[in-house]
Amino acid sequence: MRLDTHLHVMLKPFMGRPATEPETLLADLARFNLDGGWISSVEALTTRDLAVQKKSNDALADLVRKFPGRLAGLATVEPGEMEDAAREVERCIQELGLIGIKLHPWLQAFSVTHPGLDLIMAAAGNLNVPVLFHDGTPPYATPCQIAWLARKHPRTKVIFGHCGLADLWPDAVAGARENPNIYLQPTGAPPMAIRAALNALGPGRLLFGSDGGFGTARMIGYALAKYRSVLTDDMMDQILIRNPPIIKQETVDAKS
Amino acid sequence: MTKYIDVHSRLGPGRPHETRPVDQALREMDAAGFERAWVCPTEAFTAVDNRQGNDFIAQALALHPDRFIGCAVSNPWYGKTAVTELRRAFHSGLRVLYLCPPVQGFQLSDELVDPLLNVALEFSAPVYAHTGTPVCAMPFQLAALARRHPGIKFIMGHMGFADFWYDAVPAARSADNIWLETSLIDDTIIIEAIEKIGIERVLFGSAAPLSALLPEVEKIQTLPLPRESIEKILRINAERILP
Repeated sequence: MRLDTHLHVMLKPFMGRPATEPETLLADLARFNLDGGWISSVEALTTRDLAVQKKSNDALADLVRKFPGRLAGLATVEPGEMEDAAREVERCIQELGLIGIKLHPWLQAFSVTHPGLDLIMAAAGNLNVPVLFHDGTPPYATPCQIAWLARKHPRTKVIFGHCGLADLWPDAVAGARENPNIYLQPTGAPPMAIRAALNALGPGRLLFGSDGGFGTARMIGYALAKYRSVLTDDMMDQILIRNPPIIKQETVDAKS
Repeated sequence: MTKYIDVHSRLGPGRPHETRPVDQALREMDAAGFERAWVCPTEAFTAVDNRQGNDFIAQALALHPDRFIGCAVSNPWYGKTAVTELRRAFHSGLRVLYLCPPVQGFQLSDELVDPLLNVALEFSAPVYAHTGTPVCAMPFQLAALARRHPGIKFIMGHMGFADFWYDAVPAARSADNIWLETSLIDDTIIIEAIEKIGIERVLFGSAAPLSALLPEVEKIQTLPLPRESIEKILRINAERILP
């Protein structure tokens, strides 16, 4: 399976963009020889209401069950709900079958210093599932901020979902070099960032992401072309095929 | 060879990740169908060693006058020295002023840069401004600057990528003298710019070596537009802004 590990679904229209049809998303991926990927819900990332997020997590689980092996879901929770948020993490992983957490400090408007993050990160660590962060955006989602959180929770796998974007990729790479529980997914990042990540870490801690489902299908091709401008075919196979299941399952303690 | 024009790239020595020798740039341009590229010096030369950077670009122009268009750098914090250096660079054949606030350490909307813009106006030089970096290089800051200097053609580098993509088109609509450059940005915003501002104000840039020519040009070539519109973005508009 060739997986795009940074996909979005919009269960309803969002900011002028239409709701996502999963069949269309999969067809878009297939145009570029991709088989599926990891999806999160835009609705869950744009609310601070845990009740809304619970419904969205349920809907996401229903959606991925229709496409077993091709789509996997990332749950989203509100850190301000503290223990309830951590319990929702457990419910999503243990009962709904979602495979990780997606958090977006910019859209969700929280600081990574919020104490609720400690509970969420601990829950994810206990369940050995990754937490995929939007990163690259001040004031709440810079790589150094998220690396600080990752350092506090060394057993929890953290994915930098944009590898710092255009400006902060040096911080993202440095954060991953310092912390073995950080993985880099240069979604939207320039080829220079991909090259820096490769040089610093090798291909084993890289993932492919396109933001598919949020933009046009053409942007999946653009993302692949940027990766391919840096990586060999074998490296592409590694990050598309071999890395996602390894990173999903491995324990960081074993790695470090 | 097709005759595309890249309005934003860097050239020459720099730190290892940004070094782009002339021969390498020419190979990349040939492979992607580019006849000419606007070229800026790398970061150290953009920030502090402006004269050395401008001289390197001038030397590249002398060797390949039909392939490169030179972008001059002059850090506005150098004051009168910066004005003198910019005049010298334009007299040596460079034709565009390149502003990179996060590297040069100023806010795009700051009056600090006005003396350099007066020189650009005197030489009819377009001004390429990096955007997308808070707090110093945001699209609405460029719009304020452009309204203050209506006689200058400004180019909004990267259209506010990444997180100011919401602002790029509204900012450009607030100043008629802003063109939009396509590197790094999502095609949705490029289409929005075409629909709301007009294709004549959209210019192709690669941002090489930060990005790469081939993915960037393929992004434009696959837009759902007629061939003549693609040609405008990849060549004709650049020829119009700098004949």
